[in-house]
Amino acid sequence: MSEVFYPGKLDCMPDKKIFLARAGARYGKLDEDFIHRVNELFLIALEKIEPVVYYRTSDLSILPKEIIPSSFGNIKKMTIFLSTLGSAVDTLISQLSEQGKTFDAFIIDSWASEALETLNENFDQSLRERFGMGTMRFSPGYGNVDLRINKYIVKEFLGVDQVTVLDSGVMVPRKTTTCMVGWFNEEK
Amino acid sequence: MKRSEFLQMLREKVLFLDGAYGTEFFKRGYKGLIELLNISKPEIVERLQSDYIQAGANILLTNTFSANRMKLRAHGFESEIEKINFNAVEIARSVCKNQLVFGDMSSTGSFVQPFGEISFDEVYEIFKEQASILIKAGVDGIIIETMSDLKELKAAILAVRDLSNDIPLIAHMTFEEDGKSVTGTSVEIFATLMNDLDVDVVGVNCSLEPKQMLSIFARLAKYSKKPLSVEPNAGKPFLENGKLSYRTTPEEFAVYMADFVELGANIIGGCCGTGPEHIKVMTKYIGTQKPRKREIIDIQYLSSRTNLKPIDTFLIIGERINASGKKKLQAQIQQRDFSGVLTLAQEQEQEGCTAIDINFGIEKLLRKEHFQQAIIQLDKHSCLPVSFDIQNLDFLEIAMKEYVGRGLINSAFAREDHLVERINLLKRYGGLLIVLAMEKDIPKTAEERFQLVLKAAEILKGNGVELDRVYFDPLVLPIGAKNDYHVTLKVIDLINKAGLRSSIGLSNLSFGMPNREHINAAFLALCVENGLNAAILNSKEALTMGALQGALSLQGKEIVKVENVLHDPLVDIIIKGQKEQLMNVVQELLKQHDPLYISQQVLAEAMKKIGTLYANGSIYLPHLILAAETVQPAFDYLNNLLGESRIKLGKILLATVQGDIHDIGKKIVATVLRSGGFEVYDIGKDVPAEKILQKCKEYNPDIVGLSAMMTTTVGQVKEVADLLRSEKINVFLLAGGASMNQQLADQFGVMYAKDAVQALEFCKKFVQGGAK
Repeated sequence: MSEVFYPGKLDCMPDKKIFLARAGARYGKLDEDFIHRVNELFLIALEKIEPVVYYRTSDLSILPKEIIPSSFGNIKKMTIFLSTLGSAVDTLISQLSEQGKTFDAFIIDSWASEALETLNENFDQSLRERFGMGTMRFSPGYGNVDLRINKYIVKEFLGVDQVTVLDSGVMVPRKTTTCMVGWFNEEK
Repeated sequence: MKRSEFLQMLREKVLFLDGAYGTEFFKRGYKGLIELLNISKPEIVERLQSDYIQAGANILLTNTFSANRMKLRAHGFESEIEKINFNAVEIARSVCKNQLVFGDMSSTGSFVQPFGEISFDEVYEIFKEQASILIKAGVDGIIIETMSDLKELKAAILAVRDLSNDIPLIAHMTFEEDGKSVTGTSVEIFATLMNDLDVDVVGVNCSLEPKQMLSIFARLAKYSKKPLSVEPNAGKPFLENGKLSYRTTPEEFAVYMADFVELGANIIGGCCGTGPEHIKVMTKYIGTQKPRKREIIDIQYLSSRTNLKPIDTFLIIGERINASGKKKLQAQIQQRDFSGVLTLAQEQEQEGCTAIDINFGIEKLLRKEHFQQAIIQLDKHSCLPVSFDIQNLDFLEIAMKEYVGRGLINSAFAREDHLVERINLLKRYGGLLIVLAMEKDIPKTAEERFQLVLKAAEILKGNGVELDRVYFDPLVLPIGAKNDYHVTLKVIDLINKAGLRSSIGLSNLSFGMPNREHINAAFLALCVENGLNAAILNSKEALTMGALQGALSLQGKEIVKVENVLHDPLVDIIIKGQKEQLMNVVQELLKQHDPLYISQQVLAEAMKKIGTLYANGSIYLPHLILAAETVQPAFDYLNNLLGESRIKLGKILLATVQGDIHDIGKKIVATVLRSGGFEVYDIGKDVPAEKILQKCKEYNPDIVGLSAMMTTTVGQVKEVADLLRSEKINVFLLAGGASMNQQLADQFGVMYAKDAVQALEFCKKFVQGGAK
């Protein structure tokens, strides 16, 4: 089945400018107190995450047609990976919300989304170093690939038990994504 | 590497410095003078520097932080200075590929006069020697870091620049959490002086972790016109499994370092406690970034070591330190008695001046030492910024060299040779300038004088001097000699309309006239109406000061506010160092009270108030030292009157621990403790635990105070504490110094005092039975 990669936390540290923009704030315009508060939340969240990536590369022949993005064109192989920050950060966001700490919950939620994106980007780069020229990274829910295909990807293709996939294709833990990259050449 | 190449690199991307050396070697099991490793175990240095290169550093510092002659002498390795520095460069070079090697220099460990004994010229030579070896050995640049005395930093900068105009130079100071160095210099004073001096990058390092350093860096970024660098510590050290550790994780360090980049840092790295892992996480997290553009405050300032005065409002320069025609003052100055000068400086500050003019008049009868000593004394008394009304160019240079801050040259003629000589001093030492609207003779008409102003402005611009650093003096001539004051008013108006600043010497107007104050006041109001920006005047003239205030109010402007934090006259006398006045007060009090009452209820209470002023940041360390020195003779005098029943609260033994040669902090503590009524035995620096034990047996002190400045020597405090306890020496143990903190003190089983005032407080509590 799939291979597992345990990234370091550094691989998940998002650019502050980007995650703050996601939260609707401009990094360069923030006052110092705000920055201190954001940094505290950054470090609390970083402490909580348990990042892991499950991945598998295969020929197109064994994949269902509906999983292959139409934009991938003439590829030979495809890597599909699932990345998750784990459930603890979900719990943290819920607890903060329940305690009425909406600001903290909001910032950490934005942070975690961008942390996951940072992880995906770093893992994507490592794949490209291995496989050479590839397509853009793609996720179900866009283009012709239905979000509900996640159930197949997670349970059947990758065989990941730690992630629950709802009938809608939404995954739990919430900070989880599935991605795919097509390769034009053989592995280096 | 050429400066222009380095500056181009800084424009292109944020560069990464390496991390700490001392604390990292310490973590790796090496103690003592780590610079010795350059000759004894170069492979150890090479390994650490390779780790920093692997971690992504673009700039490696040589392992030469303490490799100046003075520090090496203290450790007995003076003869190895050349080899230690030269090898350091070779080792760094051997591990570099495309990275840069910067020669690392820091303090001599002693303060320059007036806070220490060493002279400006001596430290200059010490730095010049080290920089010379580093440059000859082939460094790409020099960094001067962890400096807490602006004067010592200035000496180091001049020493490097006198060796090479083309070597890239980074200048750093270290600040406390309130943004002031231990010598009372604010980050703004540092930034504005560095704007003038010939350095390429300015920055802050050490003392603080990133979280604490951020606000200080933000202030630096607002005031500095130079590219910026920053190297915070990884927090204060604490003891973990018998080893010193640092609180700030590599991730936290990196998260905060991103903020420094956002605030405009061009170079980022780590100081004490940071290691290759901190640098690795930082470089990976921050990646390749272009430096941010900063919004810099565009105001000019005058400054002394502790006073910063913006000149965007009206500048009042006190004229009364002018010895011409004052025989008593002349005689005092000739005998190098500057008490009269100091009194006049303090009076003029109280009267609302923003700077004080120094004109000794009798220059032909004086030598350079007179000017040197005068400036040192004014610095010691934490005076206002100085206007150098000195005609002899050599004397002017001596005064500017010794001066700490951004002073005002008063003045240059609008004649190229005279002006360029003073521009050169301005460029070397920093500051502002007054240019007279005359060459050899004073032109009669306003137009002629204004043409000279324009000519001087061109010369200034051609020599790279920004015109907002210059006042033009339209010249005020005595009306008693039938001079038309309208000419001056007209020139002020023309200068103002040209967007330039003007300044006058007011009192010349009424020379030889009755009711001078009335005339001066009326004329000053007219000048303000015409756009005058500054005046050298007699601030004792209430009418003149009132007219000025009124004229400015009509224009919606105001004089720079005078912050007077002192409300107690006795405290005022003590802080100003007025020993004679204090003794007079004591003599008066003795008519009604006994010596014990005066000592404990009057002087001790005044010192308590001074301690509070220091603690809340209203006064600075120089004030505190001066106050302690001022009050000591009064205490001694009262003690002598008490005879056998003299007051000594207790005996205190002070020492800087083994391996540490930093002395000044302990000396300050000793001074303050003595002034607080304790008998102090200061047994020096670099003192082994066994010697402290031996001295304890000899002196039988009630309290032992230990000082540790270096993170690599702070563990010695525990060694001493453990030894004294094992030998059943029953003393109250107190520790302080830059590397100590509350947590370490708790772990070592000693009391932590963050400064001299707190040390006094704890010692008093202890002898009164209130501290354990």
